[in-house]
Amino acid sequence: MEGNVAKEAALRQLAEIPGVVGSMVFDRSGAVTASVFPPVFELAGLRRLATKLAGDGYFQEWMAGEQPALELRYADGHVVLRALGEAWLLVLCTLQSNAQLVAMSLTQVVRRLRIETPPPVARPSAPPPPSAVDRLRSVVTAELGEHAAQALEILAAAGTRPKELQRAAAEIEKLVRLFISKKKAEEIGARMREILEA
Amino acid sequence: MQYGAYVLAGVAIAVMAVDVVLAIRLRRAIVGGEVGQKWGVLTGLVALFFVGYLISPLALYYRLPPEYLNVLVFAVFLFGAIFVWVVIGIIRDTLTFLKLVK
Repeated sequence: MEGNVAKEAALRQLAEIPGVVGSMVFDRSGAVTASVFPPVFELAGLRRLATKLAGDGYFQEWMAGEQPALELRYADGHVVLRALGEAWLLVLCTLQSNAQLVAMSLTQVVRRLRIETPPPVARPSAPPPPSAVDRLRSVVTAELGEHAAQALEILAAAGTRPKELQRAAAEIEKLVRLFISKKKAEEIGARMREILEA
Repeated sequence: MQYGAYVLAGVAIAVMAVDVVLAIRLRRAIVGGEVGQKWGVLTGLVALFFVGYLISPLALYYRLPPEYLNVLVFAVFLFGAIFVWVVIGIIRDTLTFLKLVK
């Protein structure tokens, strides 16, 4: 909440520049996190615009650079966009606005807003899910315990393609049925098939 | 001639005694499964043969009537055939697993 107040204060600083109609900050989900526009601009309309821009692939691609900026010039005004890490700043200006003054003020405001909008925190990457071979190995070790060596050798000799793993699983099931236990063979066979069908 | 039969029976009993020990040891080493079950049957047959081998010189000594002796001989033939059948089953299972048969 405090962050939004600070953002709006920064946007109000922009609004004081002659020719700046209003500005808003919106995030990647299209949510408007701060806006300073005259009452004639409906918030619903601003939200629709934010959602449309945030969901646009070309916009995202354009704004993904090191110092991303976009300036759209129209007959009766222009729109300036700046990236703020995980959010964007949109400023609507009239034709009478001084581009250099706006650019200078934007540099300052963007710096303020970037402090308020922390860059995306790199999430610690989750360990990759275990492969089918790893899961088969753990099933074999858990089910066969001290008798797992031969079965693990069969798995090690098999490739990683589904057909090769199915063949290895069938061989292990046969090994267990012949030399260990019929019941255990049914159990381990069912578990291995479950893994391979997943 | 009689002594020759006793000598042969004695050697057969000695060899079969060793077979019984080996079969029991291997039965303990096999964890289970189909091969384990078959080996159990095979061990039982080896033990049965051993008992039969022990009886055979006594049957000779006590002059068992030929009709009983014939039953004993043909019983040994029958159990011998079952024994071979079980051995073939174990070998087939093992060779199939090792992919050495077509």
